[in-house]
Amino acid sequence: MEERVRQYVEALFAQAPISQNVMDQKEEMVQNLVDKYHDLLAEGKTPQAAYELVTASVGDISELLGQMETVKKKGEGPRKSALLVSIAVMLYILCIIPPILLSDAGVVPMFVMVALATGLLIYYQMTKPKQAAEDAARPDEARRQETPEYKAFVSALWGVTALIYVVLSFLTGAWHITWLLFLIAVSVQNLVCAIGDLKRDSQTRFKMEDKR
Amino acid sequence: MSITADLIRGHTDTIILSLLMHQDSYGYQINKTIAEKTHNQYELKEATLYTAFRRLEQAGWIRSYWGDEQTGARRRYYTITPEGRAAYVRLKQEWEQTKRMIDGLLVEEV
Repeated sequence: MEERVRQYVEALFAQAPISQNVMDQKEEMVQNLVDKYHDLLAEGKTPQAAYELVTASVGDISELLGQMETVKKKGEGPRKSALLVSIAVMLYILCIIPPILLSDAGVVPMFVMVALATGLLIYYQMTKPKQAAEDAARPDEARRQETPEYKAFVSALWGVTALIYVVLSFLTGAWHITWLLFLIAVSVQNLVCAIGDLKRDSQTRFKMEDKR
Repeated sequence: MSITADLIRGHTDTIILSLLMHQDSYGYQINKTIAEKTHNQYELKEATLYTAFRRLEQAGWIRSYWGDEQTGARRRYYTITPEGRAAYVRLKQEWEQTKRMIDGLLVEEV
């Protein structure tokens, strides 16, 4: 019966996003309801009657769910990741200024800036899934980017691009042209995206044909 | 009974704060105390109770912590903050004032 109470609460929160707040709320609710259930049994109620009384005492949780929704939205999730990416991009752009101004002595700050930017991008990619999971209802676009392979690929792509950019630019001194590498990286990323889509499309089509 | 419930609902926060003034407590215990004190005439719905908890937490009037029960599952306890105590005193004064006003308005002239 205790398990039934737990299942009842799970079902209530079935539509809620998976977050620490919701998990805590569920645990708290289950614990209190189970306490109440045992008290009712002690009063001499049958298990079925006790279960019905317990579930009847829950009431309408829509306001509670709405409340948790707003708490979640208040979290600086999306804004924070936008900030991270913006700073990373800014660092990539500005990192050529120290070498220009200080020539050789500027290389050290440049490497530091590139390292920071790459670190930020990797951090962004690693912390992203939490939000992505909440957005799981959004099809295709979001889901494609959620695959771990794709995420790993993107972090690797940008890390490697930044490294090649720095090494190449430093060796050749052709700063005016090497930045094109980043455009190439964007193209590669889009290409891989498109290939992934094609593969999935043909797979689903095959499956559909199989069913026929 | 439903009208009484509506009248009381506006004071849910004050009631919870009042119970936490004496000691830390958890959801079911708070609700049980309410039922006992009202001779089983009033009891909060779970949903109402947690909505109030979350609201009071956001206002900074209460804080929650998980108990470390030796047996069974963990309970989530609530404790009142100094801001909560100040708010309780203010809310109680407001209630006293309202009560006097309504009483004054509802007295039938003899």
